[in-house]
Amino acid sequence: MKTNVTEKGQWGREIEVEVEASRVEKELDKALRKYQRQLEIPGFRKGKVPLKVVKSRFGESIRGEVIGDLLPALLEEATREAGLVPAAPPQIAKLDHEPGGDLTFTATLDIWPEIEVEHYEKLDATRMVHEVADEEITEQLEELRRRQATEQAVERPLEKGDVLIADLQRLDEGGVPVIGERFEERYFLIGDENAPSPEFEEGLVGMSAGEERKVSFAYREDLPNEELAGKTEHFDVTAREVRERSLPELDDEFAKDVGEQFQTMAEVREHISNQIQERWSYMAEQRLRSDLVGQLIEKNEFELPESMVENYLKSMKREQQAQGQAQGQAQGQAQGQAHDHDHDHDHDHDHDHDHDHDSEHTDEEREQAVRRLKSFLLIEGVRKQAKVEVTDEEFETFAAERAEQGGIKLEEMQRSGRVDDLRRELEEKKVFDLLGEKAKIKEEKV
Amino acid sequence: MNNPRTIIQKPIITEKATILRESNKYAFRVLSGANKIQIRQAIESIFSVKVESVRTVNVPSKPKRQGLFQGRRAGWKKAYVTLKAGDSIEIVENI
Repeated sequence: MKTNVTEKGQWGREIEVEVEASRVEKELDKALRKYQRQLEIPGFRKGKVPLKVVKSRFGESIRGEVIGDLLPALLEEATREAGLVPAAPPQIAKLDHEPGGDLTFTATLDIWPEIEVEHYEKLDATRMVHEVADEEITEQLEELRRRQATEQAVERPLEKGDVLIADLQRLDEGGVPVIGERFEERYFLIGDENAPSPEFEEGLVGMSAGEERKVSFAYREDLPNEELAGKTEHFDVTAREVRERSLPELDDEFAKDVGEQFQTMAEVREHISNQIQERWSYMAEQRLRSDLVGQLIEKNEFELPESMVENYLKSMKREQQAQGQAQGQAQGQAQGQAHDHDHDHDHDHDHDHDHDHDSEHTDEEREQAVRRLKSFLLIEGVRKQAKVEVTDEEFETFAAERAEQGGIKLEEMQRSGRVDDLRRELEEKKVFDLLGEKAKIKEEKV
Repeated sequence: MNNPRTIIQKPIITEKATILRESNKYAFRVLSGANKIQIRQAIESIFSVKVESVRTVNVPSKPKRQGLFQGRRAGWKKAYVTLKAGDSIEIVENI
């Protein structure tokens, strides 16, 4: 195999490849023999057709197939031999081959950009500092309290904040029951700010157990489900039970209910505070990283190979589609089961989220792709230049930590094949640490 | 009737014929009424080769039944032509 590389622009390369005839013929021979074994021609027993006959009858079409199969491997070998690392799959531009002669072809490709990062010190970045306020903790506690609320059946009219268990029968405009539209023992929490129809709840207030009432109401205009938003409905409601909700006291008893590991309220508060702090520091880290990357991109201008961006956009799209499908399924299942606070007549609406997958990439997507690729390349560049290495020991500790967080065993993780991703993550982290050390960071209270 | 291309109808390509080719013998389906001399002359004129010998076989017709209908498949004449050493017929080789 002979290769000849010509440069086309900064990243573009054209590679001319010449493959010896013997190599093609050898492959062709192999293919013919394989074909011969299952070939049936009148006048010959199956598999006994002489190679010569097979070749003269089917040689040319098989040759085309052989070359088609051989090309990807040849391309890979050629790029490797020429010392090129493609940024995206190469495109075959020209192909020449006479039966029995050498095979020559030309492929164009963009090479993987190796970036010299000139300015990676003294970057400007902001680190967010957050002190957890008491209100934040209290808010979280209130949420917990609402979740732990107990319900007690009472003999009094329904008030806001109560729970109503009721049977519903849908009525048409004239007040006639609609057959098949009866819903039993539905659960309604009255006085919820996000209720689909405040009017409906309004109409129920004052009911006692056993009472029957006809309620007409309109759904809220801003309901996400467009078919229902603003629609008027009529229901015959029979109250089965009125329940009073009582929120638990915030005492140590409550703390034990929240989780086994808590003994006192103070511990719960501390736990919540830590959680909030963690969330903020994660956000701060993300912000810091995005600042650093932004600066890197700004200070080190370079062009990306076009095919690399295209390739990345394509894979992004594929990923999105795969995710979309997985999500669509999950949503469908969840909707099938959830009948809680809502009335039972919203129709399946997953289809609203279907996007037009064939559309071209938007500028926004493109920008995002360019940013991600650049940041990846720049970080890789910094890593090489600053000689950031991850020792096996470091990696081991990091992986063990991760395994513990994820609640799986280290060996399991190693088997799952995510080890390479993890290593990259650690490398990235070390690069960011380095960048952070050398950057001018100002702190910002939020 | 004496047109060489009417006498020689088509080459026969079968396992046996392919093997025979190694000893410079070629098989053809020929006009049933043709004799060895006519076949020899026809081959020599069509392919510009020298013929060593011709042997012929009358392939018998066979009764065939397609459901209700009893019929016969036509019989035909087959000729094995041996060429003088050094001669060959390209067209047959390439089929």
